[in-house]
Amino acid sequence: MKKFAEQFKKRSEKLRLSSYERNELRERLLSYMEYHPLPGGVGSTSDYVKSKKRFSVSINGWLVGRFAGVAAVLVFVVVPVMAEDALPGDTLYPIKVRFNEELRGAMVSSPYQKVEWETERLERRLAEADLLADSGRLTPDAEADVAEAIKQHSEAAREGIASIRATDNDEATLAEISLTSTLQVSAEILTKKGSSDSATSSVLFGAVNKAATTQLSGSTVSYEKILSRIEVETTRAYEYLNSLGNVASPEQKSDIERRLNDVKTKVESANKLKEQDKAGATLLLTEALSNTQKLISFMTKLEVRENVTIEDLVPIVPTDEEKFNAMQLNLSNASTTIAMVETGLKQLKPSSNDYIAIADTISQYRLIEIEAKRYLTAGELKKAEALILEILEIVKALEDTMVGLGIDLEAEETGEKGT
Amino acid sequence: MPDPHKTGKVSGNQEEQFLEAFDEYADALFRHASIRLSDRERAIDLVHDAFTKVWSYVRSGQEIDSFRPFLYKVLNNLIIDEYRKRRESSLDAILEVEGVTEGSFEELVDDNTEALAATIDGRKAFELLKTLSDEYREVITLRFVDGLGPKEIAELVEESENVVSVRLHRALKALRLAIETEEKKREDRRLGGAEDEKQK
Repeated sequence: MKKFAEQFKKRSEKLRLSSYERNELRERLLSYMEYHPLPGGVGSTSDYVKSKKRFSVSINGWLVGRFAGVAAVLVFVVVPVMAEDALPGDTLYPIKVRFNEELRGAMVSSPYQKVEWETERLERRLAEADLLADSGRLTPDAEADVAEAIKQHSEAAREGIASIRATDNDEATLAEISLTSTLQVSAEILTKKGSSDSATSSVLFGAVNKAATTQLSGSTVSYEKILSRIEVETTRAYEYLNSLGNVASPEQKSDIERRLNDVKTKVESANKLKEQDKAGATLLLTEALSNTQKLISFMTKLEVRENVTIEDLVPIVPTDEEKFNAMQLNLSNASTTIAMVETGLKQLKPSSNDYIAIADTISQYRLIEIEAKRYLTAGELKKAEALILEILEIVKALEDTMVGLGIDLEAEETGEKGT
Repeated sequence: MPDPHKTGKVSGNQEEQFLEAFDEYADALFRHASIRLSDRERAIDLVHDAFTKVWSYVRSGQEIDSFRPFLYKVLNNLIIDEYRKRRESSLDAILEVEGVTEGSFEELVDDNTEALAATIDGRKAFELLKTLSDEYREVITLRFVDGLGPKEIAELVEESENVVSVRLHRALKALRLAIETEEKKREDRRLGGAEDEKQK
């Protein structure tokens, strides 16, 4: 009996609500509670529902008398709406941050939404700093306040993540990846602004960069879970891409599509690697997910598109074919330069030390070149790449030596070398 | 097995207590509904309805001593309603429960039930639970998934403890039969396959 009961129970315990289902169910229940509150005087109220009830009590006041109604509308509707556009230093700014945002925050019920909301608040602070800078009002004090707010919002988001982790480690790690991607995009925007616009100082960049590089929890996420999230996000990304229409030029669209293909390639590489190195494969998927989220930011946020290039945000990952072609070109350029060096070498006495040293280096180059070509033909690109880097260093050293000896290499022959 | 005497006594702030009850019992209630209905989405809906009904009860100013049995009771009623709705459109379902009468005295001994359970593989039984009628599924789920004792089950399904014990015994017998039938089918298929191989 005991064995039967244990087996049966163990098997049944696999059946449970997913974090998403649980969260959604709780949301539905809270909405129900909000619209069917406890009658006045029965028991006390928790902070959770209190924030919603506070609002409904004010609306009831409106029913009591016109004057009270006008006052309530003014206090709870007009002022908060006007406050939404306020910037630090404006009279209504505290209402925006301490009333509007706190109220919205109180209505957020799940840790997932808390993370999203705190991230959005962080982006709001950066947008405000930007507007202040444009109007020349970004004083060092204001900047320090924004930096402090960034710190607080990123900490609040990480608290939300820790709370998710208590019930679902995978979801927490995925939320962490999203938060980090958003912060990296913001840091990139500030880097660009910092180099082009002296009004934006490094204080904000420091605050965002610190938040973005805060040590991740190190928790791993299940391979399947991250793979399915990538599928969802890439589907979203393609939908955005298709809906861009005339907003983006054909070149921009092709740039985005190219990077989405890179994501696909990364996923394929991860699938191949999975059997031998699951941790490495998961890391590849983490990069793929982060890049997809950055591309979505690029497509959906004007602020991002206006300030950073897509290459800054998500650099192209060359395909094997592109790598092969680039290496072939480097080898060919190196060979041309070596031919010029050999021509210049004729100006030296064969018995001189310089001649012997240069000839030795060229022999060394020849050996490495043979090896590099062999790897390239065999498709062992990583090994070939390492040797080609060595070749490029040798060629550069030879060029410098020739210049040092006062031997000019002919202009038409010293064309650009591949790198 | 969870403590059957765990009551989830209500005190202090009602909303907080109610949400705590959600946090504590949502998974167990979902598991129960999901096993009974074999329909994940519908199970979630019924768990939601159970909580909203209990909340309405709290709003009406009624005292709830303990959330757990109350929630189970409401959920159980909702599941029974659901079955009624399904039965209206399914003749098979009506036929399935026919002939189930309870009260046979030789089956009332708990030892018999224990001895019977000892002969059944719990994992296989779980997989085949969906082949049983809801009456059987209900009693097995309450006993072995929710960990309720016969007395608590009797209160919940509004039957005597004897009826519950007999039903549990019969449900286990039906499960054993289902497992044996399944194993026989598998064996027949295996032998059939071997026969085909020979003919080739």
